[in-house]
Amino acid sequence: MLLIDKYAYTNRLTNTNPYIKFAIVVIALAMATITTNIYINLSILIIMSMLTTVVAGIPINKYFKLLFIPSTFLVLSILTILISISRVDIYAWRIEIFNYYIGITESALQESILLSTRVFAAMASTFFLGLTTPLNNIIRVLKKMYLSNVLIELLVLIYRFIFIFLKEAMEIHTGQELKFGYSNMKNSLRSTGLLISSLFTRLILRYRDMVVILECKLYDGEFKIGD
Amino acid sequence: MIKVESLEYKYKDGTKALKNVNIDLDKGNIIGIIGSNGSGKSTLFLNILGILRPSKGTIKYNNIPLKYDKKSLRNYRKEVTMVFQDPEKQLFYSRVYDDIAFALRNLNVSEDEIRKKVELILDRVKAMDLKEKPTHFLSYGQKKRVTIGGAMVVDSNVILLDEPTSGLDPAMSEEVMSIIKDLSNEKKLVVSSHDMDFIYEVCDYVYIISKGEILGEGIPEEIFLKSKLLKDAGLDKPWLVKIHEYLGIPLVKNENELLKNKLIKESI
Ligand SMILES: Nc1ncnc2c1ncn2[C@@H]1O[C@H](COP(=O)(O)OP(=O)(O)OP(=O)(O)O)[C@@H](O)[C@H]1O
Ligand SMILES: [Mg+2]
Repeated sequence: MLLIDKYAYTNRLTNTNPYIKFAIVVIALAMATITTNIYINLSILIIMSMLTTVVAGIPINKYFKLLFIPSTFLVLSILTILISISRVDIYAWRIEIFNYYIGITESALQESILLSTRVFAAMASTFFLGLTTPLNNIIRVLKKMYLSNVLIELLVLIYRFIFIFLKEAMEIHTGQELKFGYSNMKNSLRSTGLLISSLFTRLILRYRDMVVILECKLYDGEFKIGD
Repeated sequence: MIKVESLEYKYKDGTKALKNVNIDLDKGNIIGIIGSNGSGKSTLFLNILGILRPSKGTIKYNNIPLKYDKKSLRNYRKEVTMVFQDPEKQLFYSRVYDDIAFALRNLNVSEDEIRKKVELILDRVKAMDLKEKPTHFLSYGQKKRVTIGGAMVVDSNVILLDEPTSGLDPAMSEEVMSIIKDLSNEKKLVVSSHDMDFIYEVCDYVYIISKGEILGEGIPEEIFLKSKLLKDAGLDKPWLVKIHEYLGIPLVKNENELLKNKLIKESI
């Protein structure tokens, strides 16, 4: 479950200058946002995927799995842009039900394609940064950009807590599964409820532990990462 | 150095975890706190560290009672630090190097110096090959060594080690033991454990705690002969003490001495 972190620390670009990586990604993101040319977007997508898989050495199947997760959201939102309902037939492709037309217009299609390529280009760019750069290096860049300490602190803690959250959730889930907590519908519902409530208490405990640890490590409200 | 005077601690739910505890860390260089599960060892450590605040009694550092404001505590923790029981919770960063460097960075030590210090520490806890590794790939024993390194790196005077050998295999325990012995040359150490062999070998003064109370104290060669005391505390005897009692072999401090001892060789 610590997949992203694992790759960030073990890929072939881990120690590449983070400023360069950051700059590449920012330029790619800017281009993807500004351009209305789908070929530019597709090139960004291809280049970034290549950088991540071929150059940095992230396994391709894992990479696609990771890309797939946000893709489901993308598909849902694109569908709502793509398909519309109207009384008049303005569509390039449509079906007719009770005097209404449900279909896809030429312009909606173009817009959807542009949007999808843009989103994928942007996703591949951020994945490139996230998968090849350890958190500390990202912070280093953000600090150079004078991002406020509060935001950096939030970032570090959220990042830390995502892992704690997933780990605790998985531990509880495995425990429940071993006790046949998910053997049927009724059990599953009850187990899920239990999982959520015990996850909550465990996270509070973990949070308290973490505060103690941070104090012992003389943390004083700012994550210092050195230069 | 640190004195614990008539300490009492009650958890919010009413559990009286410590009752009238008196401890003087000047009595030895590696002090052992032994007790069965739930006897109050961790609670005691958290009190000494100033994380929990005693319900009654005081903790004194250099004869001055602890102050609990933020600044005093921060200064205190530069002097007194702790290695927690569960290494998982103690590792904060995902890279061994960053995790050990964390406290130094918080003290605004320069990166050059940090590099030197971290390397030195990695060498001392025999974790040089782990330097660039992500912390979540480490085995339990490796994590334990890295967390000890993380505590060593600050030049504190006292380190509290809560169960440093629990969950370790014999070889790893042995390694942790040698790290602790090495460390004791420059720092005062307080070690909690229910591993009697380990405590017997490394400690030079021992407190026995049971149900939140100190049942007895003394140097290991004496305290471990008190059968009733140990039984009351639910503890076993170190094997070296056992063979001394059962077989009449002279009492020695560790296996090496046992093997070298002429008298023993002759009697076998
Ligand atoms: N947060 C808490 N709230 C209430 N009671 C607690 C809490 N933490 C510990 N206790 C209780 O305080 C007593 C002492 O616990 P403590 O963790 O100090 O024991 P320990 O000697 O460290 O045990 P172990 O060897 O298992 O680590 C136990 O009875 C325990 O149940
Ligand atoms: Mg404990």
